[in-house]
Amino acid sequence: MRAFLLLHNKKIRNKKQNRNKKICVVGVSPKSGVTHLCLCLANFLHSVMGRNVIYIELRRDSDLLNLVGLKQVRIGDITGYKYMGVKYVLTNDVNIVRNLMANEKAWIVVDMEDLNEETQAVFMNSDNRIVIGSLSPWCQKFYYQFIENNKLIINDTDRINYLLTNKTKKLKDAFMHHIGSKPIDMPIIKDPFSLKEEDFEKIIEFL
Amino acid sequence: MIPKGIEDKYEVIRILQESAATAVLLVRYKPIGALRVLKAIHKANPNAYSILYESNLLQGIKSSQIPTIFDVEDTEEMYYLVEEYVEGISLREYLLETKLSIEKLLYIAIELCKIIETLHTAGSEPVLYRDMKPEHVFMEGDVVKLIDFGISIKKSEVKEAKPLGTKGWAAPEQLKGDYLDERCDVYGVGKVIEFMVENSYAKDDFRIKRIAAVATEPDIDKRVSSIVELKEMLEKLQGERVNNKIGQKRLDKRIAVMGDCHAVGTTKIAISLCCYFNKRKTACYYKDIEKDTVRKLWINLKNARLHKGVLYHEHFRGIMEYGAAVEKHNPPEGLYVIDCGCNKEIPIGTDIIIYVIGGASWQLNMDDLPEWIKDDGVYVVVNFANRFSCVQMAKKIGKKVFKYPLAIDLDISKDEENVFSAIFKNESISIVTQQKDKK
Repeated sequence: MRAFLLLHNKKIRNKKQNRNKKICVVGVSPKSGVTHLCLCLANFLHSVMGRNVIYIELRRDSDLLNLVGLKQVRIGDITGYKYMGVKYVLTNDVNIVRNLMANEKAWIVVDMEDLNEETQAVFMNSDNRIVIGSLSPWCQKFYYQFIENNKLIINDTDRINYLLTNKTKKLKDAFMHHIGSKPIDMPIIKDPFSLKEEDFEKIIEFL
Repeated sequence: MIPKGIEDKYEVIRILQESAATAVLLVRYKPIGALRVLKAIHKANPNAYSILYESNLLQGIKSSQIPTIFDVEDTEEMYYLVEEYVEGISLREYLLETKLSIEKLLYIAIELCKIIETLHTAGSEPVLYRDMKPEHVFMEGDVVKLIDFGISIKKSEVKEAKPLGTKGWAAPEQLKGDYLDERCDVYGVGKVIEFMVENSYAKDDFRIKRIAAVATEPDIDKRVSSIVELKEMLEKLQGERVNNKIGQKRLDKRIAVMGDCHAVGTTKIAISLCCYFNKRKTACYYKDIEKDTVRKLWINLKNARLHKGVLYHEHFRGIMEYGAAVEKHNPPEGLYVIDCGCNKEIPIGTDIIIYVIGGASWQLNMDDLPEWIKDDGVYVVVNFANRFSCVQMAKKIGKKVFKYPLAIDLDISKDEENVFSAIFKNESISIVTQQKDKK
C-alpha cells in the first residue's frame, strides 16, 4: 500500500512539473463537452499552477467571444483576448494555430471542432490528445464512426486519451476491445471558472 | 476692518485675524452672553460668496466636532457668518507642551478620521475638507475638533475647484489641480499622523509610521483608498494595544520576515517560523508576497495536501494564492508569517518584523539598513554568520542580533527552535503561551 502511495505521489509530482505542453481536445460529435474540459484545463493551469496559458478555439463559429472578448491583448503577431489570466485566440485558421504552437512559450490548449485533413497536423503535434464522446446507445455510433474515419491518424498516433461522458461497463469493455486501450471517464466539474480543490486531481490526470 | 451694524447683537471681544477686506472676530452674543466667532468679508471682495458657500456646505452636517453655524447675515457693506467658538488649543500648540503617548496619538488620529468620515458621508454628496493641518485641529480637553472649512468643496464641484491648499500638508494632486476625491483628505490625515509621530513616543513604532506612509503615498492609486479604511487600520492597532494592556491574548498577529538582500535565507526562516508555532499547537500560516513558494512546495513535496486554500505538510501551513478561476475561501484565522523576500515595504498590519541579514562578507551592507531597524518589535537575525561577526554586527546596529543556525530540512530543527524561543521570549506573553492558557 505504501509503495503504491509513493508511486502515486511521484506520478502526480511528475505531472505537476511538466512544462509548456500542448493539449488538443476534440469531440466525436457536437456538444461532447470539449470546451468545458478545455476551459477546466486552461483555468487550472493558470489559476492553480501559475502557468502562462494560451487557449485556442479552433472553430468556424466562436462560442467564447461573448464571454472572453472584453479585453484585447497581443499574442505574438495576432490579437487575442485575456480573461481570468488565460489568453484566448479565437480562430479557424490552422496556420495561426501551428505558428502559436511553434513559437509561443506557453501551455497551449486547443479546443478543436473537428478532426480532419486540415486540422490533423495540430492534433498530431500536440503532446496530449484527448477525444471526447458518449457511449450511450443512441450516441456511440459517432464514436465508432470517428475512429473509423480517422483510422490512419489514430494508428499513427500514440497516447490518445479516450474520454467517455456516458457509459455502462458492458459498453466500455466493448469499446476497450475495439480501440485496444482503456478509456477514461469524463470528470464531473461543475464550473470551469470556479474550480474546486477536489477537482484538481481529476484535471491533473490530463496534463 | 471691523464690520459696522453688528453692535446690536454682538460685542467684539478680540480681533483674531484681520485684513483690508476680511475679519475674524471673537464676539459675545449679547442676548445670552455666549462667545462666538464672527467671520466677515466685504461685499466687493471677489471671494465674498465664500462665506455663504461655507455655511451652505456645512448645512445638514451634524457633528459635535465641527463648529455649529448660528447665523449668516449681511450689512450694507459686509457678509458675515457667526459660528461656535471652539475653545482649547490647536494640535500644533498642544504638541509643543505635550509629548503624545501612542494611545493618545491613535485616539486623536481616529477622531480625525471620524470627523472626515462624517464629511464624506453626510448630506447628498461627499464634502472634501482639503485643509487638514495641525493648526486646524483643536483640542478641547479630550475632544478633538476640526475648524476652518474655507476651502472645502462638494465632490461634484472638484472640476471647477481652484488648486488651493497648504503646501506640505495638502495632497499633491490637490496642489497640482488634478482630479480630486476623498483620498485627498486621507492624505491630510496621514500628514497630521506623521506630524504627531514626530512629537510622540511612537517614534520607534514602525506600525504607526507604516500607516502614515501608506496614507500619505503621493501616488493616489497606492494610497489608502478611503478614510474608513484608514480608521479601521488605526482601530486595529488601538485594539491590540488595549488588549495587550489588559492581558488578553490574541492570535491574529502578523510577523513579517524580511531579507536584507537575496539569498540570505528569508524563505527558510519564514517556513521554519511557521512550523515553530504549529508545532506548539498555535495555528500559524505562511504567506509569501514576492514568489510562489507555496505553489512550488505543493508541486515538490510528498504528501502535501490542499484544503480550503491552505497547503498542509507536517507542521507547515501555507496559504496558496490561487488565480481568479478557483473558488474563493476566507483566509483562516491565526498567526501569519509573511515572507517579504527582500522587499523592504512593511506589509500593512504587521506587528513584528524579523529582519534577516546575511553574515557572508559579500552580503553585509551596513550603510543601507532600514531606519526602522532599531524600532521595538523588530528583531535582527543573522544567517550564515559566525559568533564573532554577530557580535560585531550587534555593536554596529546598536541592538541585539540573533545568530541563525545552519538548517537544511524543511521542518524545524532544535537549534532553530532555540533561536525563535529567544526572539519571542518577550512576545511570548501574547503569542506562545496562548495555547497553554487554552488548555
